[in-house]
Amino acid sequence: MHHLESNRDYRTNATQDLRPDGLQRDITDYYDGCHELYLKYWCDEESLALHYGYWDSSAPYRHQEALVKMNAYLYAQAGIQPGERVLDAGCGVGGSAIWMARERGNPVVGISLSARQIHAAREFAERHGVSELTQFEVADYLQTPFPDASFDVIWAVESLCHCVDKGEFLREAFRLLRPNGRLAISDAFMLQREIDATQWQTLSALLDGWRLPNLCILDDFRQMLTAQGFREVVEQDVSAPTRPSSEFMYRQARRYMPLTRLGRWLGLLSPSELTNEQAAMAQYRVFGEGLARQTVFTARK
Amino acid sequence: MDKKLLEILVCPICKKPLYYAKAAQELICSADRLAYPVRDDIPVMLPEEARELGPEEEVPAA
Repeated sequence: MHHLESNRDYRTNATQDLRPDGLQRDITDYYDGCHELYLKYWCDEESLALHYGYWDSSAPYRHQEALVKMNAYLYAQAGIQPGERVLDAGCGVGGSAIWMARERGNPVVGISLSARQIHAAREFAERHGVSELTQFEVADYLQTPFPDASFDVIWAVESLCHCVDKGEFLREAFRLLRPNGRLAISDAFMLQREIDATQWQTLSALLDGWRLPNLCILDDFRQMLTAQGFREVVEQDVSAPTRPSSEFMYRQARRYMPLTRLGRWLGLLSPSELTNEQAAMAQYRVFGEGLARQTVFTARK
Repeated sequence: MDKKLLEILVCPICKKPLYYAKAAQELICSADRLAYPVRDDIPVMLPEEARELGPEEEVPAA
């Protein structure tokens, strides 16, 4: 049996860099290494999303539509108003930020550790005609270059999972929010503390492959929000509406497996593309076996 | 570099205003004596990437 705790680094991959900024480097290498992969096999230039899709309709799954729907769902859930100033903490190539600016008229600042993503985000924002409303820069969401109380909303879609100490993330978010400002988080949270050897293997493939030090334990995260002073904490289980996109990812990984094998043999793939495939397979099992649950949290300062 | 972006940026460590050294393409924090690089018009606001200022380097107020 493996006993899991929140806020610890459980990555076991050999490439793990143990310098203090090793995790940052690991995350940047991952997103830089998988940059084309995401743009080619996950999102299109309309959605630009690196997150799970949201699909609650009985109609056949339409992936790009689901990716955009996730933005609309979280936006509504957090009660964001047009014009409110948003920080997209872990913005990827700018998908959500551009969507909020274009569809809702919000000024949005997006930050990522990857300069490559920030370059891409600025270019995409220009193409979508929202360069005036958006700003993108290289920064760490745990230590941001913004004054106190400078945002109405902190938005974090599948980025919280990349830091070791989730409490540290919440402290910085709380500092950045104006009074009554809102937090909007979508991420995977662990439902179990005790897991067996097989489950640990699956979880490990996910953590190593996506450069995640841990998935926060759901009960612990609720407590961390309250301990930090957030109120009106609302939690939504989004496992059902995100399941089709989780399955889509699993199927994509399986379909392209022969190609990945060939690419590996020819030495054409980056290390992150190789481990990404394992993670893409593992995430489906992690959710399917009830180890973790995709969850949306909203809260008010 | 983008003016509106520069206006909102502070030092990620001490949260004090920064001085933009245009020729060197750096954002300088006089309190922490750190210079954050601006690469291809993108400020890299990571303390790990910042250059420590030498003891003789003068820093204008932000």
